[in-house]
Amino acid sequence: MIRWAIGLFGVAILAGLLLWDAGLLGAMGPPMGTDGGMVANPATVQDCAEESILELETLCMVQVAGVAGTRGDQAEVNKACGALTGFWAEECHFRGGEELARSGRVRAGLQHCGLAGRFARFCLSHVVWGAHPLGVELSELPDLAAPFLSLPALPQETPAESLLRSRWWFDQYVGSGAADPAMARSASELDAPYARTAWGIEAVRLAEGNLEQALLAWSGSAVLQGAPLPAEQRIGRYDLPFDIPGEAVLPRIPTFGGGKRLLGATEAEDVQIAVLEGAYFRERTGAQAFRPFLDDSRLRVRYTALRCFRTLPSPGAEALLRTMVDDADPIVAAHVADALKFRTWEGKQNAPGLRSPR
Amino acid sequence: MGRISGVEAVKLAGAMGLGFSLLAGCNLGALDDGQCDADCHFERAQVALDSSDPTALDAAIAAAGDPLEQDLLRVRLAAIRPAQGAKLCAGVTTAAAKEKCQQVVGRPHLQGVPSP
Repeated sequence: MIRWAIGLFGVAILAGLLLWDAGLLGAMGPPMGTDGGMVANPATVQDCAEESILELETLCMVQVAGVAGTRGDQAEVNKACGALTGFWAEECHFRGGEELARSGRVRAGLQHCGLAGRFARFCLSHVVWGAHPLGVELSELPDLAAPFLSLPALPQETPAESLLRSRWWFDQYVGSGAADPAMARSASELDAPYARTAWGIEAVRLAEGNLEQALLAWSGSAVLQGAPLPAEQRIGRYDLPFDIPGEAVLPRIPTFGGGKRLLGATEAEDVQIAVLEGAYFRERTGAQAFRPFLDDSRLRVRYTALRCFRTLPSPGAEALLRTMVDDADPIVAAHVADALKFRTWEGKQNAPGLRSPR
Repeated sequence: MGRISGVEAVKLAGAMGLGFSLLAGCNLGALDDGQCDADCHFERAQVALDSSDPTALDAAIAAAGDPLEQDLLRVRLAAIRPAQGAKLCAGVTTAAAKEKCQQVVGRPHLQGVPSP
């Protein structure tokens, strides 16, 4: 009897769905949900009430958080994520947060990232390096970073404010069409290295990869200028930081994506490093551009050039690196040993330290 | 998210909406082998999954019978054990189940969530 009842009910529902899909039940509304009549396409928390299975309801709530974030509806994100617990609640805040930021509500997005528990760092990184500019004042950065202060941090982890500062300066220069060093030169002591990083990227782009010309533009009177880039094209090459003993403890700041760069001991040295980093960011720059700096007398410049050189394909890379195996500087020697071990210049997928552009 | 075709609607209804809900809410044991309903299959599959015995897992999923039921089982298991989501989701067949699976396997950080 039950079997018959279920069978008849199922036929009726399927017939109803087909009729609805044909527009015949439009006046009555769809039998399930609100968007296409499918719980598979939920738009609000209410839609998820259709799910009688806990796991499907959970996935539904997370999906709603993402959809609500896309339309900038923070209240609905809160409602969806508030209905969940454990790692799915954290994932829900992550989804909602990154989509809120993508919709232009960066502050709201970061608030949700701060609630994403074990995924907070991923969320932060997505928001900071997402396509949308931060669109905030420099003075607001400490406040934006506040939700992350109470989260447990890993030893090598970059503070949230530092990431935000990196992005803020990136937005000022990269793709703007003008590499005027005046703003970077007048930046505060705290901001100056971030400003130089961003300036270096734009200077190398506008100098079309001519590193000497880019470097001269820092102190020269002529400002490098060119066509601005649309926001979605303001992307480039980056790598994950190598944790080379000795180098890992030197002062570094975050760069584009998940990268880090060394700080120079002086302003001039830092500008040189920023230009090298700008060259690495420019995807058309080959390994040979870094070769002249592999024996630079300034060690941090040398380390930077070596890090860039070793992750790019070039003929004779292995032979050259082998000549540096017994270098007197332990950091250079460690870099070379690591490069030879993983053959990083071959650009193999998953090779440590080499990431494709996003 | 766009609308879906009539055929897809039927598949989705069966796989993720009424079909799944209906199947989970009723005593499928009476329709199946008389011993195990949808939640029972889920519990058995969960035990098999945690035993790390792929044969036992395959058998537990196959015991659910209907392919839609098997997809539901795989999605439910992936949701509670995301670290094993790729393995579980590789076997789903319906569009709706694939979409739900994407919420797990499309998010690499979830692979690091340990089993309770």
